[in-house]
Amino acid sequence: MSAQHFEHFLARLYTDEFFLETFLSYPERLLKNAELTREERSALLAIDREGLKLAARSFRAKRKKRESKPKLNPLKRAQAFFATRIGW
Amino acid sequence: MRELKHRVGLGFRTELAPSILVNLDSIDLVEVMADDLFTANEARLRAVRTMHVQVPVTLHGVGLGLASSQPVCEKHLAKVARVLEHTGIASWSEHLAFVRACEIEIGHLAAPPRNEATIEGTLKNLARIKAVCGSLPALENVATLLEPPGSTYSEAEYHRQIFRRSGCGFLLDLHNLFANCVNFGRDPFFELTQLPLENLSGVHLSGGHWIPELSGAKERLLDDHVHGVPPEVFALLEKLAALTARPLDVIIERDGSYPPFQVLLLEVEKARACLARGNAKYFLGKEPALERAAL
Repeated sequence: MSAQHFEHFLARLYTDEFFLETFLSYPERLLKNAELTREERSALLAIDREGLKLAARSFRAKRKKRESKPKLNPLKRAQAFFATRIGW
Repeated sequence: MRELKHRVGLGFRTELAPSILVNLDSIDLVEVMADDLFTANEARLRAVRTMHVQVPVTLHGVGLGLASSQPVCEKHLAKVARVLEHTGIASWSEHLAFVRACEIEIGHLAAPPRNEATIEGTLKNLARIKAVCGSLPALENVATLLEPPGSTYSEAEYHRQIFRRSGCGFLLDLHNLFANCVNFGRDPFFELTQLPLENLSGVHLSGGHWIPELSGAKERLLDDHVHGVPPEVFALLEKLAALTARPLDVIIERDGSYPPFQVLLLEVEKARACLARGNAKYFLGKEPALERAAL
């Protein structure tokens, strides 16, 4: 069960900016009440902080891109429609 | 000299569709994003089936999140099963990533902790996937900007464990391998020899760009699919072809900033040339070959 809590904790770090900032500033305080094993807490205290910040930023950018994905312009839409007509 | 029947193709994207369809003579196969077909009506699914008659099609999923101690999302799995059933395409793949935890959607592919709990969870998820879909996907290694915390296995050992215990095909993304190696100080050419190549079923090629760390101290390579395939990744493909006598399906992935289509076709040709040169080394015995005994 703890492995699932660990993944949940990671997912929060990747998606919740406030949670991430709190973790980076006060890791022990945040980990104190988390349902994690001692090894998992140690792993999080030793985390690659630069990598964590970059990964969280990259995930955030991906989510934003997905949410604001521009629709194809009319020419591209017509091309895509034509493509479906000829077999795709 | 023995010649292997490699197939080199492109990831199918709506923006590339017309160009792909008029250049099928230059492309051996295409890879369609399975998740893009989740809401497809019957006509669109029929169109994929029709295309599959003209050129081999393989399906590629991104959202199952099967490399996790948590069970795969049943709703998502049902959508994958529908696409497989309605297109009639047998060849498909997914990523060794986790994309959600409880109610949180990460929104992209996260490298899971490389440990026993993840492997056990992955194997359970694969059993469920097989029960619902009737087949197992090939599994792709993922790029990461962060060595996943909580890992007890190296990246190579983690992959050896997964593929030995699951029997799945290995879809090796060479840019992901390259990015992880340069970001974490490993030699990609050595790392390649440590991977479970006996399970190799396909290859992905793509590009990325360097981003600065927030401290400004160093840069890391971000796999973004919007840049061309770098020379080092073509060199890895050649090395790979020198290590194995398997016929490979190679897909070049491009998700944006599309160049003129001729540039993508040139990358297809480059990949073919790398495979030919690598295989020549394999058969001439210029490289230590992992599978020579199997021939």
